[in-house]
Amino acid sequence: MNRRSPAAEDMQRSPGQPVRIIARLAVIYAIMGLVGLQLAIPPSTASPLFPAAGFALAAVLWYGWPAIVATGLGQFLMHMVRCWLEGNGWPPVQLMLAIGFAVGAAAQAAAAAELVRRWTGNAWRELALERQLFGFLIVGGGLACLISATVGMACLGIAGFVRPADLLYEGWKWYVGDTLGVFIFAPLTLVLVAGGGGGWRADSRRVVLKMLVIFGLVMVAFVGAGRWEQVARQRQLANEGNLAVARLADRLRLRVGGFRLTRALLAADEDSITTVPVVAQRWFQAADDVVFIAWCPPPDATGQSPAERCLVEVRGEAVVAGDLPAVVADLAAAAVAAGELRASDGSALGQPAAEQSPGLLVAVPEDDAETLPATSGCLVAGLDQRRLIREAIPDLPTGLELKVGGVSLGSRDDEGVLRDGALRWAERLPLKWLDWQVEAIADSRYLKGEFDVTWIVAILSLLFSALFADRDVAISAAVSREEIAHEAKRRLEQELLVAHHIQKGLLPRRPPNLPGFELAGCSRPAAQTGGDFYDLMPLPDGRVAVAIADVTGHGLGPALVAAEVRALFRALIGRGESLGEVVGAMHRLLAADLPAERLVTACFAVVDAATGRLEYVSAGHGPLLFCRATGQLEELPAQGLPFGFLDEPPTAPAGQIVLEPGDLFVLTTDGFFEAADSSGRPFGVAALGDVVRRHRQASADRLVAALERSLALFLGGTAPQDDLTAVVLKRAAAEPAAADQTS
Amino acid sequence: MAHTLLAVGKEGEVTTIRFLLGRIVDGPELDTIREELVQCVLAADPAKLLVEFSGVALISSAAITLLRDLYRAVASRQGELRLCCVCPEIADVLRFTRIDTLFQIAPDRQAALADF
Repeated sequence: MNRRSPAAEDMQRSPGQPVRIIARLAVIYAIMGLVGLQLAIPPSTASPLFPAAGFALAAVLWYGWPAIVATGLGQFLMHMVRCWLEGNGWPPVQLMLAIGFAVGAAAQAAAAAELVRRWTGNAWRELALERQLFGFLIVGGGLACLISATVGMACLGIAGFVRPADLLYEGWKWYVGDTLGVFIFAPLTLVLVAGGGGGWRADSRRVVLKMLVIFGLVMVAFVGAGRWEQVARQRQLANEGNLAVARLADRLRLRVGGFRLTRALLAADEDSITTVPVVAQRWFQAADDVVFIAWCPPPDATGQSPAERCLVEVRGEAVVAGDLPAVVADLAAAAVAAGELRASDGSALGQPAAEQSPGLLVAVPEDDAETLPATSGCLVAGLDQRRLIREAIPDLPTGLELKVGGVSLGSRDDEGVLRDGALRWAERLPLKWLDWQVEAIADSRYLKGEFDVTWIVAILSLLFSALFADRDVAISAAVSREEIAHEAKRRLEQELLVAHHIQKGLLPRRPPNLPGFELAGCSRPAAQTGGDFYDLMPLPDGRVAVAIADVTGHGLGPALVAAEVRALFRALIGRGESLGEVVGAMHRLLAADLPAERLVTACFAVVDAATGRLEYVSAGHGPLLFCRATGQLEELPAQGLPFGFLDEPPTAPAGQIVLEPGDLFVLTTDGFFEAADSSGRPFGVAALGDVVRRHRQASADRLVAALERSLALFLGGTAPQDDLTAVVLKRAAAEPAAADQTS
Repeated sequence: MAHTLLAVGKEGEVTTIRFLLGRIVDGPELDTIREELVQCVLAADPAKLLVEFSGVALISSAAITLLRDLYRAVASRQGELRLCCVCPEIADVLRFTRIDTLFQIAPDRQAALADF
């Protein structure tokens, strides 16, 4: 079985061609791969349709091993270009990933091609049957595509780009993309590229157009669904973010409100320094995010600032005056003086313990002068920003990260994986006194499972449209093959008709003039052409050569052999050699030419009109009927075996008879006596002799006609299965002298 | 080798072969018969073969090649070959073609076996 494609054979003949083929295929693969990756729906980086996989299978089927190399190179190239386009550069880990992906893609293409060849019995060029087509898709797509996805996921898992828990899910998407790529683009590539490959090529324009329209519509729907999914995801994330913003704002307003109330209370208390710890302990003990409260009493009546200031750590002991409190109080006073509120990180407060780090400093200024005098004191509270956020948003979903004023909450994937898959949303807190931005970042864990139904529906749409289109390809190919076969049959019939006319033209148009003799013959091939012929040829010495031959079999092959036998006889008989020498020479020449399955029975004769002597040599041909004018019928023996039976030529001497007036020499092929009627009964040699004897007084022409007519009557409408050929030589009967005298 | 178109038996040292088709004419069966016949000759030990034509009413000229291949195969093993039970129509063909001069043809099976 020939397992090589024409393209592979061309490459073998041209040594430099594989390199060019590899380069070309690798570039095409990389481009198709990059285009395919654009179809990925975030957060997944896997495309639901990866055309390069199908292209690779078709290329390996068509070009053989160079396409396997090209697939690996193309995959490597695709990954590196992708890294470059995304600005990642080419770090070693990406190089290793590219190599791993390349090995997987090349192994998959090679295995797919081998499986397809085994499944279809190397009939992948035809795929006339739907069973073959679906076998092609199942083994070339469904089975082989496990390879690349498995290798790819293993590489990503080892490199740490995909968590172990996500390997199966991401691998499934990779597998589906490759499989659909094979379903759609392997047949499409074969239709477009594999010219001359039977039905794939035929009518390719219509098939390709139909496939492109189908997949264009599907992809438009798919991309639309993807966009809709993205919008929906963004909306969901925005809702999550807005909820967080609202909770944070509420929490901050609550705290500031409490601080204002506290300040109002302390301002009214003459012994506020003593009261502050009590208030702090009672009011703010339960508020985990309030770390401390600093109180600067209002100036006295003379306008002098009080000497004492108070700092209360809500869950610690009160500190009156002192270094740190003084600093806090002064900061707060400065903030008030500046007319602004400040948020600062913990380090600005003198680097307190990390776990108590108040990331937020809230000063309650005299911003409500209508209700409190401007000299109502200043209260500064330290809030633990992280605790504040956590208490405001206690139930952060998995995979959602929240960044508030530089503090990050929640967890997320590795940056490298998130880059493509993450969604972001940002908004500022609706507080005039606090310029915080809230940013929500969702990774694949947060988004996964929310929109899989759409993804699966899209996959199923692609799958069914792929199968529909592929079936259309197969049907079209089958129709094309029928058309091709019909055209081939028509051409063959035309050629056979030409051969028929040529063979007919080799028969004598009219018998040569042989004084005192009548010569006639007929030849009816069972098909357009046959292995029978007869010949009547005048010789330079006035004699006439007669030949009849039957080449075994029917059709064009025997007709060609018959033409050779005729040509050899004509060439040799004209050289003046004896008939025995001529037949011996023919035997030697034909022995070299005759195929093993061919035999030739033939009888050659030379008739001398002057003497009535007929010399003949039969090479296994019979019956040779010699019918005398009296009706006596004699069956003459052959001199040797048929041409092609044994290597030895006939050794018996040529036979000789003398035809007296009214005598007949009749030669037929076996088509006459072996012809069987509907019951299987053959016409037989005896019946043939009877016809000759009954019509011996008829002219040679009429005797030939009588032979044909008798056989037709015997067959009763059954078509002869073999060629029919007959030759009749009749020496004209003597003129009845008595009659002449009478007349 | 299983034979589908031949009935092969053993009579003493003689391998007997009988055709199962009534007409041996052109067609795919001809090649099958040819292959099975040659296999029989090669498998026969000693190479003494009797080919029976009982039940065969007709052989076409193309089938003559069967006899040629049979003759050559037996000759290559320097074996003995007999034909028997040949109907008149087939006898005519063998006579016309002079093939009857190459083979020993017995009227029936017993006579053929006795002739070995």
